[in-house]
Amino acid sequence: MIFSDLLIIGTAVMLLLSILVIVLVIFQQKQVIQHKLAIRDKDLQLQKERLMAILQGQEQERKRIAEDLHDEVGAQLSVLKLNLNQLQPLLKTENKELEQLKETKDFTDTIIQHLRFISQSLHPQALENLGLSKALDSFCNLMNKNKQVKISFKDEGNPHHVDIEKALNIYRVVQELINNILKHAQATQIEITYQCNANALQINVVDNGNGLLVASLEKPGPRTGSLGLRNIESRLNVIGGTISYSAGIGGGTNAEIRVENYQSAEE
Amino acid sequence: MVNNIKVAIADDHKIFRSGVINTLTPYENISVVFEAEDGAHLLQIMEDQQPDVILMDLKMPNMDGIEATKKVREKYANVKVIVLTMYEDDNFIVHLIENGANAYLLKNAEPGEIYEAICTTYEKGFYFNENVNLALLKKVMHKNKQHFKPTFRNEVQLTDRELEVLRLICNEYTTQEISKEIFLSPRTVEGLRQKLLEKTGAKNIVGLVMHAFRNGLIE
Repeated sequence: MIFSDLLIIGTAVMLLLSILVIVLVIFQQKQVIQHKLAIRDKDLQLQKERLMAILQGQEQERKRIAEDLHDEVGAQLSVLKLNLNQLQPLLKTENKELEQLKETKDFTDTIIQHLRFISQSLHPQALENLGLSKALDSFCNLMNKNKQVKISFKDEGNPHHVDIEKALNIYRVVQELINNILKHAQATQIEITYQCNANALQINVVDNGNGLLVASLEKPGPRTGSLGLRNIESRLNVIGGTISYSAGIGGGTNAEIRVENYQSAEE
Repeated sequence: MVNNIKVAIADDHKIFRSGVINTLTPYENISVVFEAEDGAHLLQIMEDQQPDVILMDLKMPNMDGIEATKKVREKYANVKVIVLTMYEDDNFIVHLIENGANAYLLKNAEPGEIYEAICTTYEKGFYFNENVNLALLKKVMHKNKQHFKPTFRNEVQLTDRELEVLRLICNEYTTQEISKEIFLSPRTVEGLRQKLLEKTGAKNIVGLVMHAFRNGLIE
């Protein structure tokens, strides 16, 4: 009687103890996992900040080079051309002297034109003065002068001011998309549509190319992606935007960029 | 020939200012009255003396050419602004013309064109070269495609005479030439010009021309 009572009590105590041990172990492990998660979050945050710093540094450097080229070298080349003009009255018409001068002047113009192209590709001055929509329009104009593909730009109206930092990142994303299309898609036409309301900004880049991009993204397996595509994702990640790709009507690709909370904080 | 047009240059590059002055020296009816290093400097000098025409760079420290053009337009309605810049960009052209610039030239323009622009803006109030025309045309076409309706604002009713003068202004006729063309005295033409500015609410001749463009009065 006493023995069996003792046995029951003993077993119960043992049972309780082991439950307690199990609970403690589970609790402990949960804490470890939580701690690990916290560390990983911190790491991610740190990585994001580092990425932002790298991108910012890169942009500052590009801006400086673009401005030096455009403003300093550009001014000097313009003076060179003015000086060449002053030679004109001193030259004789025979011996092709005037012709040679004209060729030299034209060549100077060509250099200035290249300089404009390089500096605008490095940093879009229109972005700071005229805003994202106008800067993208200017970018399309520039590309149309220099490439085989025809790019059209449509702004659906409702101008809202875009935060300058975010605007620059969105500009770069569109630039990268166009570069990708030129390199891989064999498109002849690209249409960019710019829409925004108070909450979200949406840009669609639609091409009439081979649509290989969408096909490659649909393939199973790990997404390696080109450096360009990864750049696009990390830039959008930094400003809290998203991008999705879908097949366009009749071939080609439709890339859709969406950014919420795109306006400057102080407004 | 118009005699002695007073020209000022606002540009942060001394070497470029000197280049322009050298280029303009052979033209006897033009005298460069002062140079400014940036927009703020320009406005400071203009408190004491005003030129007829300003050659304005866009990218300058302290106050850029966009801001300075707006300020000049607010304070000195009669002073003409010719933008002289490295930026070849339709959006900049439209933006500057809308904010009161009377002409837009690139820094590598031929000296002859710079001279012509100075004389034409002085005489006629504006000088639009092919670059400007194309940029404005693109803008107008773009607007038409979207939400723009080609009607006058309700209160604007122009008489046939006024319309005729407006068309001639858009075709770069001077007051003298207009008066010869439609057999009215220059003073009457001047009066009609003022009336047009009042009726359309334009601040200057450029605004008037933009208005005509937008409302489809120019073929």
